[in-house]
Amino acid sequence: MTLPAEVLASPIFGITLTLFTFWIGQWFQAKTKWSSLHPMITSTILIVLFITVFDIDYKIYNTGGSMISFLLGPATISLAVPLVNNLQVLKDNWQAILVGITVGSLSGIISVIIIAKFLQASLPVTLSLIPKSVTSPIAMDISQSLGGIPALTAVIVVVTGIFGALVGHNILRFFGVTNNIAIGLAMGASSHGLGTNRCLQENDLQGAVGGLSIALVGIATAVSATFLVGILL
Amino acid sequence: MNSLNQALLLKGFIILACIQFVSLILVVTLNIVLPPALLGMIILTILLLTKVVSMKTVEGTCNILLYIMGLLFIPPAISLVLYYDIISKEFFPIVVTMLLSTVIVMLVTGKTVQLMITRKQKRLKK
Repeated sequence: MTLPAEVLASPIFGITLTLFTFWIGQWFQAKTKWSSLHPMITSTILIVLFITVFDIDYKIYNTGGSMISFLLGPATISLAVPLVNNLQVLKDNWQAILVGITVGSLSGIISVIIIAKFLQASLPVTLSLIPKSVTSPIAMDISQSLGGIPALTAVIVVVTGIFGALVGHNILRFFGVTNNIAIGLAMGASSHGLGTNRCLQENDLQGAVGGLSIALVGIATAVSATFLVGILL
Repeated sequence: MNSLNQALLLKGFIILACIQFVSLILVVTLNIVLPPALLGMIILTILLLTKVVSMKTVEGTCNILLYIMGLLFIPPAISLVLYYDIISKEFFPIVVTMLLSTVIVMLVTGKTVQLMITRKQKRLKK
Protein backbone atom coordinates (compact mmCIF):
# COMPACT_ATOMS: atom_id res chain seq x y z
CA MET A 1 0.00 0.00 0.00
CA THR A 2 1.30 3.42 -0.85
CA LEU A 3 0.06 6.96 -0.91
CA PRO A 4 -0.65 8.62 -4.31
CA ALA A 5 2.38 10.40 -5.78
CA GLU A 6 0.60 13.78 -5.77
CA VAL A 7 0.16 13.50 -2.00
CA LEU A 8 3.79 12.56 -1.39
CA ALA A 9 5.06 15.38 -3.61
CA SER A 10 3.28 18.01 -1.53
CA PRO A 11 5.02 19.48 1.53
CA ILE A 12 1.79 19.03 3.47
CA PHE A 13 2.66 15.33 3.80
CA GLY A 14 5.83 15.92 5.86
CA ILE A 15 4.29 18.83 7.75
CA THR A 16 1.19 16.92 8.79
CA LEU A 17 3.16 13.78 9.68
CA THR A 18 5.43 15.85 11.95
CA LEU A 19 2.71 17.94 13.58
CA PHE A 20 0.27 15.06 13.98
CA THR A 21 2.82 12.69 15.55
CA PHE A 22 3.99 15.53 17.83
CA TRP A 23 0.38 15.99 18.90
CA ILE A 24 0.09 12.24 19.59
CA GLY A 25 3.29 12.58 21.62
CA GLN A 26 1.81 15.40 23.70
CA TRP A 27 -1.38 13.44 24.23
CA PHE A 28 0.61 10.32 25.18
CA GLN A 29 2.78 12.28 27.61
CA ALA A 30 -0.28 13.77 29.31
CA LYS A 31 -2.06 10.39 29.39
CA THR A 32 0.83 8.39 30.84
CA LYS A 33 1.89 11.30 33.10
CA TRP A 34 5.44 10.21 32.26
CA SER A 35 6.98 13.64 32.05
CA SER A 36 10.37 12.55 30.71
CA LEU A 37 8.69 11.14 27.59
CA HIS A 38 9.09 14.32 25.54
CA PRO A 39 6.71 14.47 22.53
CA MET A 40 9.84 14.83 20.36
CA ILE A 41 10.83 11.25 21.14
CA THR A 42 7.39 9.80 20.41
CA SER A 43 7.14 11.86 17.25
CA THR A 44 10.59 10.86 15.98
CA ILE A 45 9.91 7.16 16.58
CA LEU A 46 6.49 7.30 14.90
CA ILE A 47 7.79 9.18 11.83
CA VAL A 48 10.73 6.79 11.40
CA LEU A 49 8.36 3.81 11.71
CA PHE A 50 5.88 5.35 9.27
CA ILE A 51 8.36 6.17 6.51
CA THR A 52 10.15 2.83 6.96
CA VAL A 53 6.96 0.74 6.86
CA PHE A 54 5.57 2.60 3.84
CA ASP A 55 9.00 2.76 2.24
CA ILE A 56 8.96 6.54 1.81
CA ASP A 57 12.17 8.34 0.89
CA TYR A 58 13.63 10.74 3.49
CA LYS A 59 13.75 13.37 0.74
CA ILE A 60 9.99 13.09 0.27
CA TYR A 61 9.36 13.46 4.00
CA ASN A 62 11.78 16.37 4.19
CA THR A 63 9.95 18.35 1.47
CA GLY A 64 7.56 19.26 4.27
CA GLY A 65 9.96 18.59 7.15
CA SER A 66 12.36 21.25 5.94
CA MET A 67 9.57 23.82 6.13
CA ILE A 68 9.23 23.10 9.83
CA SER A 69 12.96 23.01 10.55
CA PHE A 70 13.34 26.24 8.56
CA LEU A 71 11.84 28.04 11.57
CA LEU A 72 14.94 27.05 13.58
CA GLY A 73 16.57 30.16 12.08
CA PRO A 74 14.06 32.70 13.46
CA ALA A 75 13.86 30.65 16.70
CA THR A 76 17.63 30.89 17.21
CA ILE A 77 17.53 34.65 16.55
CA SER A 78 14.77 34.83 19.20
CA LEU A 79 17.27 33.75 21.86
CA ALA A 80 18.34 37.41 21.84
CA VAL A 81 15.22 38.23 23.89
CA PRO A 82 16.12 36.39 27.13
CA LEU A 83 19.72 37.50 26.54
CA VAL A 84 18.83 41.21 26.51
CA ASN A 85 16.38 40.83 29.42
CA ASN A 86 19.18 39.47 31.62
CA LEU A 87 22.13 41.45 30.35
CA GLN A 88 23.10 42.99 33.69
CA VAL A 89 23.51 39.63 35.47
CA LEU A 90 25.58 38.36 32.57
CA LYS A 91 27.82 41.45 32.65
CA ASP A 92 28.35 41.04 36.39
CA ASN A 93 29.56 37.46 35.92
CA TRP A 94 31.49 37.71 32.69
CA GLN A 95 34.68 36.07 34.01
CA ALA A 96 32.88 32.94 35.21
CA ILE A 97 30.94 32.78 31.94
CA LEU A 98 34.08 33.09 29.83
CA VAL A 99 35.89 30.36 31.76
CA GLY A 100 32.78 28.16 31.60
CA ILE A 101 32.60 28.54 27.81
CA THR A 102 36.27 27.57 27.40
CA VAL A 103 36.03 24.60 29.75
CA GLY A 104 32.76 23.51 28.16
CA SER A 105 33.99 23.40 24.59
CA LEU A 106 37.38 21.85 25.43
CA SER A 107 35.89 19.10 27.63
CA GLY A 108 33.42 18.32 24.85
CA ILE A 109 36.07 17.79 22.20
CA ILE A 110 38.58 15.98 24.40
CA SER A 111 36.07 13.62 26.05
CA VAL A 112 34.67 12.54 22.68
CA ILE A 113 38.13 11.81 21.27
CA ILE A 114 39.21 9.79 24.31
CA ILE A 115 35.99 7.79 24.77
CA ALA A 116 35.50 7.10 21.06
CA LYS A 117 39.13 5.96 20.76
CA PHE A 118 38.70 3.68 23.77
CA LEU A 119 35.53 2.14 22.29
CA GLN A 120 37.25 1.78 18.89
CA ALA A 121 34.82 3.87 16.89
CA SER A 122 35.84 4.34 13.26
CA LEU A 123 37.52 7.63 12.30
CA PRO A 124 34.59 9.18 10.36
CA VAL A 125 32.23 8.34 13.23
CA THR A 126 34.61 9.83 15.81
CA LEU A 127 34.97 13.01 13.77
CA SER A 128 31.19 13.21 13.36
CA LEU A 129 30.77 12.90 17.13
CA ILE A 130 33.16 15.73 18.06
CA PRO A 131 30.77 18.69 17.56
CA LYS A 132 27.81 16.82 19.13
CA SER A 133 27.12 19.48 21.78
CA VAL A 134 27.20 22.39 19.33
CA THR A 135 24.14 23.88 17.63
CA SER A 136 23.30 22.01 14.37
CA PRO A 137 24.44 24.47 11.69
CA ILE A 138 27.86 25.08 13.32
CA ALA A 139 28.16 21.37 14.19
CA MET A 140 27.64 20.34 10.57
CA ASP A 141 30.24 22.85 9.41
CA ILE A 142 32.77 21.55 11.95
CA SER A 143 32.03 17.93 11.01
CA GLN A 144 32.55 18.78 7.34
CA SER A 145 35.86 20.53 7.90
CA LEU A 146 37.18 17.72 10.15
CA GLY A 147 36.26 15.05 7.61
CA GLY A 148 33.23 13.61 9.40
CA ILE A 149 29.75 12.96 7.99
CA PRO A 150 27.71 16.20 8.43
CA ALA A 151 24.27 14.54 8.21
CA LEU A 152 25.26 11.92 10.80
CA THR A 153 26.45 14.79 12.99
CA ALA A 154 23.03 16.43 12.61
CA VAL A 155 21.33 13.30 13.96
CA ILE A 156 23.82 12.96 16.82
CA VAL A 157 23.39 16.64 17.71
CA VAL A 158 19.62 16.31 17.99
CA VAL A 159 19.79 13.10 20.05
CA THR A 160 22.39 14.72 22.34
CA GLY A 161 20.05 17.70 22.74
CA ILE A 162 17.06 15.51 23.60
CA PHE A 163 19.13 13.54 26.12
CA GLY A 164 20.54 16.69 27.74
CA ALA A 165 17.14 18.37 27.92
CA LEU A 166 15.61 15.29 29.51
CA VAL A 167 18.15 14.46 32.20
CA GLY A 168 20.34 17.59 32.49
CA HIS A 169 18.57 19.34 35.32
CA ASN A 170 18.34 16.16 37.39
CA ILE A 171 22.01 15.31 36.90
CA LEU A 172 23.13 18.85 37.76
CA ARG A 173 20.92 18.94 40.85
CA PHE A 174 22.21 15.52 41.94
CA PHE A 175 25.80 16.82 41.79
CA GLY A 176 24.91 20.00 43.67
CA VAL A 177 24.90 22.53 40.83
CA THR A 178 22.13 24.97 41.82
CA ASN A 179 23.29 28.36 40.55
CA ASN A 180 21.14 29.53 37.62
CA ILE A 181 24.07 30.87 35.60
CA ALA A 182 26.01 27.63 36.08
CA ILE A 183 22.99 25.53 35.07
CA GLY A 184 22.21 27.64 31.98
CA LEU A 185 25.82 27.57 30.84
CA ALA A 186 26.16 23.81 31.40
CA MET A 187 22.93 23.08 29.52
CA GLY A 188 23.78 25.35 26.58
CA ALA A 189 27.33 23.98 26.38
CA SER A 190 26.29 20.31 26.54
CA SER A 191 22.98 20.25 24.70
CA HIS A 192 22.65 23.51 22.69
CA GLY A 193 19.18 24.79 21.72
CA LEU A 194 17.24 21.89 23.19
CA GLY A 195 18.97 22.19 26.57
CA THR A 196 18.42 25.95 26.52
CA ASN A 197 14.81 25.48 25.56
CA ARG A 198 14.38 23.26 28.63
CA CYS A 199 16.11 25.99 30.73
CA LEU A 200 13.49 28.54 29.66
CA GLN A 201 10.90 26.36 31.42
CA GLU A 202 12.86 26.85 34.66
CA ASN A 203 13.51 30.59 34.45
CA ASP A 204 14.49 33.38 32.10
CA LEU A 205 18.03 33.79 33.45
CA GLN A 206 18.94 30.15 32.75
CA GLY A 207 17.58 30.57 29.24
CA ALA A 208 19.57 33.76 28.70
CA VAL A 209 22.86 32.17 29.76
CA GLY A 210 21.98 29.11 27.68
CA GLY A 211 21.55 31.24 24.56
CA LEU A 212 24.86 32.97 25.14
CA SER A 213 26.49 29.61 25.80
CA ILE A 214 25.24 28.12 22.50
CA ALA A 215 26.76 30.97 20.49
CA LEU A 216 30.10 31.15 22.31
CA VAL A 217 30.66 27.38 22.72
CA GLY A 218 29.85 26.98 19.02
CA ILE A 219 32.51 29.51 18.08
CA ALA A 220 35.07 28.17 20.57
CA THR A 221 34.57 24.59 19.37
CA ALA A 222 34.88 25.60 15.72
CA VAL A 223 38.15 27.39 16.49
CA SER A 224 39.75 24.66 18.65
CA ALA A 225 38.45 21.39 17.13
CA THR A 226 40.88 21.16 14.19
CA PHE A 227 43.81 21.91 16.46
CA LEU A 228 42.86 19.38 19.16
CA VAL A 229 42.07 16.65 16.63
CA GLY A 230 45.53 17.17 15.18
CA ILE A 231 47.13 16.59 18.56
CA LEU A 232 44.94 13.85 20.01
CA LEU A 233 44.00 11.70 17.02
CA MET B 1 -5.97 37.63 21.71
CA ASN B 2 -6.83 41.15 20.57
CA SER B 3 -6.07 42.60 17.15
CA LEU B 4 -3.17 44.70 18.41
CA ASN B 5 -1.36 41.58 19.54
CA GLN B 6 -1.85 39.88 16.20
CA ALA B 7 -0.48 42.90 14.36
CA LEU B 8 2.55 42.86 16.69
CA LEU B 9 3.12 39.13 16.16
CA LEU B 10 3.22 39.64 12.42
CA LYS B 11 5.52 42.64 12.77
CA GLY B 12 7.80 40.61 15.01
CA PHE B 13 8.03 37.84 12.45
CA ILE B 14 8.73 40.30 9.65
CA ILE B 15 11.61 41.74 11.68
CA LEU B 16 13.03 38.25 12.39
CA ALA B 17 12.82 37.33 8.69
CA CYS B 18 14.56 40.56 7.67
CA ILE B 19 17.31 40.00 10.24
CA GLN B 20 17.94 36.47 8.99
CA PHE B 21 18.00 37.69 5.40
CA VAL B 22 20.53 40.42 6.17
CA SER B 23 22.61 37.94 8.23
CA LEU B 24 22.72 35.53 5.31
CA ILE B 25 23.88 38.31 2.98
CA LEU B 26 26.59 39.33 5.46
CA VAL B 27 27.75 35.74 6.05
CA VAL B 28 28.02 35.02 2.32
CA THR B 29 29.61 38.30 1.20
CA LEU B 30 32.02 38.75 4.12
CA ASN B 31 32.87 35.04 4.56
CA ILE B 32 31.88 35.07 8.24
CA VAL B 33 32.36 31.70 9.95
CA LEU B 34 29.07 31.93 11.91
CA PRO B 35 25.78 30.38 10.75
CA PRO B 36 23.34 33.16 9.70
CA ALA B 37 20.97 32.43 12.61
CA LEU B 38 23.67 32.99 15.24
CA LEU B 39 24.81 36.21 13.57
CA GLY B 40 21.12 37.12 13.55
CA MET B 41 20.94 36.55 17.29
CA ILE B 42 23.83 38.96 17.75
CA ILE B 43 22.22 41.53 15.42
CA LEU B 44 18.86 41.37 17.23
CA THR B 45 20.67 41.74 20.57
CA ILE B 46 22.35 44.92 19.30
CA LEU B 47 19.09 46.26 17.82
CA LEU B 48 17.31 45.70 21.14
CA LEU B 49 20.09 47.26 23.22
CA THR B 50 20.27 50.34 21.02
CA LYS B 51 16.43 50.51 21.10
CA VAL B 52 16.24 50.49 17.29
CA VAL B 53 13.80 47.61 17.78
CA SER B 54 11.66 47.73 20.90
CA MET B 55 11.33 44.65 23.09
CA LYS B 56 7.53 44.95 22.91
CA THR B 57 7.57 44.49 19.12
CA VAL B 58 9.48 41.20 18.97
CA GLU B 59 8.86 39.62 22.39
CA GLY B 60 5.55 37.92 21.52
CA THR B 61 6.80 36.33 18.30
CA CYS B 62 10.12 35.30 19.85
CA ASN B 63 8.46 33.64 22.82
CA ILE B 64 6.19 31.59 20.57
CA LEU B 65 9.18 30.43 18.49
CA LEU B 66 11.18 29.56 21.60
CA TYR B 67 8.18 27.63 22.94
CA ILE B 68 7.94 25.41 19.83
CA MET B 69 11.71 25.01 19.35
CA GLY B 70 11.68 21.31 20.31
CA LEU B 71 9.27 20.54 17.48
CA LEU B 72 11.56 22.25 14.96
CA PHE B 73 14.38 19.77 15.67
CA ILE B 74 12.34 16.71 14.64
CA PRO B 75 12.87 16.79 10.83
CA PRO B 76 16.71 16.84 11.06
CA ALA B 77 16.54 13.93 13.52
CA ILE B 78 14.60 11.85 10.99
CA SER B 79 17.64 11.89 8.66
CA LEU B 80 18.93 9.03 10.83
CA VAL B 81 17.08 6.69 8.43
CA LEU B 82 19.76 7.56 5.86
CA TYR B 83 22.47 6.19 8.16
CA TYR B 84 20.89 2.95 9.37
CA ASP B 85 23.91 0.83 8.38
CA ILE B 86 26.61 3.05 9.94
CA ILE B 87 24.55 3.62 13.10
CA SER B 88 23.69 -0.06 13.56
CA LYS B 89 27.30 -1.12 12.92
CA GLU B 90 28.74 1.32 15.50
CA PHE B 91 25.67 1.72 17.68
CA PHE B 92 27.46 1.03 20.96
CA PRO B 93 30.43 3.42 20.57
CA ILE B 94 28.20 6.18 19.16
CA VAL B 95 25.63 6.03 21.95
CA VAL B 96 28.09 5.57 24.82
CA THR B 97 30.43 8.35 23.63
CA MET B 98 27.50 10.69 23.11
CA LEU B 99 25.90 10.10 26.51
CA LEU B 100 29.11 10.03 28.56
CA SER B 101 30.61 13.09 26.90
CA THR B 102 27.36 15.07 27.29
CA VAL B 103 27.29 14.36 31.03
CA ILE B 104 31.00 15.22 31.34
CA VAL B 105 30.57 18.58 29.58
CA MET B 106 27.52 19.35 31.69
CA LEU B 107 29.18 18.61 35.02
CA VAL B 108 32.60 20.12 34.27
CA THR B 109 31.01 23.35 33.00
CA GLY B 110 28.36 23.60 35.72
CA LYS B 111 30.77 22.87 38.56
CA THR B 112 33.45 25.28 37.29
CA VAL B 113 31.06 28.18 36.82
CA GLN B 114 29.32 27.61 40.15
CA LEU B 115 32.67 27.48 41.96
CA MET B 116 33.79 30.77 40.40
CA ILE B 117 30.51 32.54 41.18
CA THR B 118 30.30 31.41 44.82
CA ARG B 119 33.94 32.41 45.34
CA LYS B 120 33.24 35.85 43.92
CA GLN B 121 30.16 36.23 46.12
CA LYS B 122 32.20 35.31 49.21
CA ARG B 123 34.86 37.88 48.25
CA LEU B 124 32.22 40.55 47.84
CA LYS B 125 30.75 39.80 51.28
CA LYS B 126 34.09 40.26 53.00
